[in-house]
Amino acid sequence: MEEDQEKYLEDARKVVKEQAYFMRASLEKAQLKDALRYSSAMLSELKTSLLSPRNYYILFMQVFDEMRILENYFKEEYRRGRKMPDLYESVQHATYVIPRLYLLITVGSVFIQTHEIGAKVILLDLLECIKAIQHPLRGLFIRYYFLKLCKDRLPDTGSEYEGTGGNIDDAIEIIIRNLSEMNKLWIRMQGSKDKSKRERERLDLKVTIGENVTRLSNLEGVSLDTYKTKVLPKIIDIITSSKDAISQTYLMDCTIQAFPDEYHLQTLQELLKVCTTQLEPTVDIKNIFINLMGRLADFALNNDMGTFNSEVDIYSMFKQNIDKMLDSNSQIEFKNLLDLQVAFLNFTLRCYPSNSEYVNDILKSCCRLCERQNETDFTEECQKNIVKFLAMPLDTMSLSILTMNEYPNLMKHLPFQKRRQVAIKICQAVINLNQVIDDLKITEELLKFIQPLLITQNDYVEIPENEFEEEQQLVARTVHLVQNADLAIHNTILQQFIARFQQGEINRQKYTYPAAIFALFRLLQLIAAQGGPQTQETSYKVLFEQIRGLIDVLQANFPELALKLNLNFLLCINIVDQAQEFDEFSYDIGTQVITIFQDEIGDSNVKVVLLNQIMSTFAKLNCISGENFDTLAGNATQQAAKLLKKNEQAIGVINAAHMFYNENIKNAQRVQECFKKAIKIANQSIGNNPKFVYVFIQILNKYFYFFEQVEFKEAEIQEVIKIINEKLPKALQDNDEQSKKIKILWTATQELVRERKRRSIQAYQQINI
Amino acid sequence: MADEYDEEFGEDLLVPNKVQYVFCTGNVGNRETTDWLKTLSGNTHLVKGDFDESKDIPETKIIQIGSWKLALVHGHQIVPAGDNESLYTFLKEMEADVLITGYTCVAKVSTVEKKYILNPGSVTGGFNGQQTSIPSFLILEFKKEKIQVFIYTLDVDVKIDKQELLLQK
Repeated sequence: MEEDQEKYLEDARKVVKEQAYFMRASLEKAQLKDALRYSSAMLSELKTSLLSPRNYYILFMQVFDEMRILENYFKEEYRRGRKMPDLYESVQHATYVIPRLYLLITVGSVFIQTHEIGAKVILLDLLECIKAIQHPLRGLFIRYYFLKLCKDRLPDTGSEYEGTGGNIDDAIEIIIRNLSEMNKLWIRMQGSKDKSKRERERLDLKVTIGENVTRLSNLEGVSLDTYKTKVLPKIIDIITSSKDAISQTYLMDCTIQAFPDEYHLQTLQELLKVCTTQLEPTVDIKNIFINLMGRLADFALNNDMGTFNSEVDIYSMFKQNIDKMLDSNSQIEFKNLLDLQVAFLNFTLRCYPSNSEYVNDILKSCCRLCERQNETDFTEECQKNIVKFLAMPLDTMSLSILTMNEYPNLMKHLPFQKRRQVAIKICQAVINLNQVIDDLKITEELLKFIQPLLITQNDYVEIPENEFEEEQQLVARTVHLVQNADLAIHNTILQQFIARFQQGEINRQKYTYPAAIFALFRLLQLIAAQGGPQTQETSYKVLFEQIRGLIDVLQANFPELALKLNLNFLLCINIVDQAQEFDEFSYDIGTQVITIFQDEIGDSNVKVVLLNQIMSTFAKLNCISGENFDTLAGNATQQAAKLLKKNEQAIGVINAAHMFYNENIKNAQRVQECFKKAIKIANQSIGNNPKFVYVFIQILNKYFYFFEQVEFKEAEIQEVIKIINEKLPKALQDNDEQSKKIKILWTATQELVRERKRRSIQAYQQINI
Repeated sequence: MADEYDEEFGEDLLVPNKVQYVFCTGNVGNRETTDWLKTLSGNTHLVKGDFDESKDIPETKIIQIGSWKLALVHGHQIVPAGDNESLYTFLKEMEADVLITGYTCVAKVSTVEKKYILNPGSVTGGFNGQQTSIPSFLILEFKKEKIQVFIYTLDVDVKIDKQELLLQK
C-alpha cells in the first residue's frame, strides 16, 4: 500500500508540474484562455481519491504555490483594465467542479482587492459555492484554500475592506462558518473502520483547522468584549455540538493557545464549565486544565499580581471545577486526578505564594481523593506525585505548612522509602531557605515528619551507606537552625531535637549528637553573653551534665570523636566558668580525655596529631585549678613520652611546655623540666641516627620561643647547638628528603637568630650559631 | 560546627566563577557543601580539618600563584593552636610566602618577619571557644608583588577591612 501511495503521489506531482509549466508559458504569452485550461487540468489532480490525507496535503501545497502565479496574473489583468466580473464569469466555465471552485476562489480574492464590490458579498458567495464539495478530504482542503487566500481580505476593523465591504461581525461570521464546516468534514474523516489509522490521519491535518482559530485571534476588531460576547460563544458552540473527542480537544487547545491570557482570565468560568460538563468523556480534561493553569500562572507572574487577584477569583473557579471532577463518578483515573491536583497546587503556589489556607484546602481535597482509593491504587507514579505534593509548598512557604492538619494524613499513604524522601525534602527546604526554627509547635511537627530519618520505623528498609550519611548530615544541619532570642525557648526546642536523637540508634547518633552538642555549645555562648543562666533548665550544671552524657554515649563506638568533642567541651566550659566553679567537673573531663587517648586510640599516627590537639587545648584552659591542672598537664606530658617513635616523644614533650607557660599560667620550672626530658630522649637516639639532628633543631627553636620569658642556662642551649653542628654534616650527606627538611629548618633557624641579633634583642647576642 | 552561611554575607561573591581560586582550611562537614565549594571555581583547594573523616583530603597543600607561594593547612596539627611563631616555623618548613590556616575560627591577618599568616576564620561562625562566634572569610586579590586582602566579617552588619601584603624575599 505504501509503495502505491508513493507512486500515486509521484504521478500526480508530475502532472501538476507539467500543467503548471504550460500554464506559465501561456501566461507569458498573455493567452489567458489557454492558461485557464492548463490550470484547470492541474487543479483536476486535486479530485483524486487515491491519496492518503498526508500525501494529499503535499500535492495541495504544490498546487497552491503554482496558483499564486495565476493569482498575480489576475491582478495584473485588472490593472490592465480587464473587468473582474468578466473574469469571475469566465472561470466558471471550467468543466469540473473542483477546478472551477479553486479558480473562483482565486479570482474572488483578487476581485475583493479591487474594492468594486464589498468584501463580504464575495466571501459569502464563495462560501455558498464551496458548499458543493462535501467529500471530507477534498472539502477540507478547498476550505483551507479559501482561508489561505481570503484571510487578508476580511472586513476587519481598521482594514481597507471595512465599511461597505462589511465589518468585524461579518469577518467573524465568515471565519466561524468556515471553521464550522471544516470541523464537520474533519470529523467525518473518522469513518467507522481503522479507528487508530484514521485518528492519525486526522491529526496530520489538524493545523488546517487550527488556522481558522489563529486567524480569528489575529483580527484587530476582536477586543476582549467581542471575544467574550461573539467569538468564544460561537467557538464553544462548534466544540460542544461536535461530540468528537479529537476535535473538542484540539479546538480547546487552539483557543487557549491563540487568544491572550487576559481574555482567558475573563472567560475562565465559561471555559472551565465547558471542560467539566460539556465535553466527551474521553477528552483529557486534565491536560486542558494543566495547560490553562500553566499559562495563567506565567501570566500572573509577568504582570501585576494585583489585578490578577482582585478582579477574578481564579482560584475558586479552578477549585470548584476540579472538585467537581473529583466528586463526580467520572471515569477519570486516580493517577490523572492526582496529576491534576499537583498541577493545581503548583499553580496556587505560584500565583498565591503566601496563602496557606488555599494550600490546606487543596491538601484536604487530595486527602479526600486518596481516602477513596484502595491501597493497590497507589502505584509508584502516584506515590511520586504525593511526594511532590508534600514537598512543593516547602520551597515557597514557611515551615507553617507543617502545621496544616491534612499534611500527616497524606503521608500515611506512602511506604517508608517515600516518607523518607518527603522527610529529606523537608530538611533540604528548611536548610535552603535558611529557616530559623524558633517555634515549639512547628518543631514538634517538623520532628514528626522527619521521623523516618530519626528512628527506625516499622517498615524500615536498609539504605546504602553514603545515602544514609547524607540524610543524617541533613538532620545535623537542621538542628543548627534552631534559634530564639528567648534562650529558655531556644533550649526547649533544642531539647525536643535531642529527645528524638536519643531514640535513634548509635549509627544515627554518630551524626546527630555532635551537631546537638555544638548547638548546645552555641547556646552556652549565648547564655554567657547574656550574663548567665536565667532558668533552671538552662543552668550550667544541667547543660554540662547533658553534654557529658551525650559524649559518653559516643565513646564506646567512636572514641576519637568523643575525645575531640570533649576537647571542645573543655573550651566551652572555659568560656563560661571564669570562677572555676566547675573545677572538679572540668578536671574529670580532662582526665577522661587522657583515658580515652591512652586506652582507646590504637593508631600511633592518629595519637601524635590528637596529642597535639590535647596539649593545645589544655594550654588554653583557665577553668581548672592549679593543682588539678598540673596533674592533668603532667599526664599529658607523660603520654607524650610514651608515644611510639623517639622523635615523636621528644617533640611531644617539648610541645607540652606550652601547657605550663601561656596566658593563664607561667610555670617556668615545668618548662625547664620539659626541655631536660626532651633532650634526654633526643640524646638517646642521636647516636645511631645523625638525621635525628632534626629533633634537636626543633628543640632549639622551642628554646627560642620561650627565650625571653623563661630563664635557661646559656650552656644548655650552646650544648644543643654544639650537637647540631657536630651531627649536621653527616645528616646532610645523603641529600635525600629528610636531609632537605633538615637543611630548610636549620637555615630558617639561623636566619631567626641573625634577625633577632640584628634587632639587638639582648638575649640573642650571646648565641653562637 | 554551624549550619549555613548567612545568605546576605557575600552573596554576590560566593557564586560560581566570581573567584578563580577557593582555599578552604577544612571541617566542611558534609559532601553537599564540599561539592558546592567546588562549583565556586575551577581551582578549589581543600585540606583536612580535625573533624574531616574523608581519606582523600590532604593535610597540607602548596599552591603557586604568580610569584607567591601559598601553603594551606588546617592548623590542628600545630602547637599551640593559632600561635604565630609556631605557624611561622611551619611556614618556613614549607618554604612558602603565605600560610593560610584555620582551626581557631577567628579571622586574623598577621605579618611575621617577611612572611604572612592568614586565617579566614569560619564562614559559618563555627564554635571558637570564645564568647561570640563571628562569621568571616577573606578575599585575596593577587597582583604581581602584592596581595590586597579583604576581610569580611558579619557582626550584625557586614564589615569589610582591607590590608595590603607586599612580597618580600
